[in-house]
Amino acid sequence: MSGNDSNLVDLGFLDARIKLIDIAAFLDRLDRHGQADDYRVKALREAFAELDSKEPGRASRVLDALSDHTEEPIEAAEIQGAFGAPPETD
Amino acid sequence: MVSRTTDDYMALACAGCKAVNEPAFWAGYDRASAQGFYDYFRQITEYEPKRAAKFCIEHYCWLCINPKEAEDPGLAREVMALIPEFLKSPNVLGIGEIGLNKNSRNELMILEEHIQIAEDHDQLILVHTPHLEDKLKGTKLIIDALLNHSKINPGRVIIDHVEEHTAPLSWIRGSGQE
Repeated sequence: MSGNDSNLVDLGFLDARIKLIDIAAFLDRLDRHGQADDYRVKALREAFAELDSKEPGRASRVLDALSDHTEEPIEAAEIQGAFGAPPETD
Repeated sequence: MVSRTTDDYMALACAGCKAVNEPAFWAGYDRASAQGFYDYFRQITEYEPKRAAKFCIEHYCWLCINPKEAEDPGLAREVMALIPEFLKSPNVLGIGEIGLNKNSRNELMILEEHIQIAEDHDQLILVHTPHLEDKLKGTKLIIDALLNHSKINPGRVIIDHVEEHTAPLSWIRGSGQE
């Protein structure tokens, strides 16, 4: 760290710590209520692997993991919102 | 800015804001007719610039039917037919926010027709990319649609709402450096 840099750990550690505990508590709640098999939760768990990566570009790869990778337009938009993870396909 | 209160304009002025630009947007519900859009286009080309001017803020806007309302091609075409009349307004910057929402065939067709309006009237383009899981696919489809229009200058297109996974795609493909 050079003398002019802000200490990013000082700035961001507590925020990251809070978010990590939030996620852990969310997963605990899902387990308690038997909802851990939801396709969005499965996608989230697959994306977790990127958090332990040593390679830069984690945010991009997490977003990729939570994206629809099909290429053709869908036949019709039946809703206007999005769910955060693509639906499971058979 | 149509959803902002007069106090918001005051806060913007106090913060030193000199100008705002307002893309045509989904109102939070689907409008029932093209006439609703006619009134909306009047609001953002006539009324909002006057409201902003009271606070010494310049107001600019973009015109389109948002992709969230593009699933009905009949309505979308009626709305797009209104656009050329409003392009003469001095505060109009171009066509936008056009793009995709759920990446459907109708949305893509209406996007293509918006791009054609921009091309025909030599307008800037402001692009809305989809949300969450739909963003990556939608950004790719939008860029393909733009690149299919050979007369569209990528330097006159803004792709908004990019995230870490779509920003490089927009920069690299948009600048023709594939």
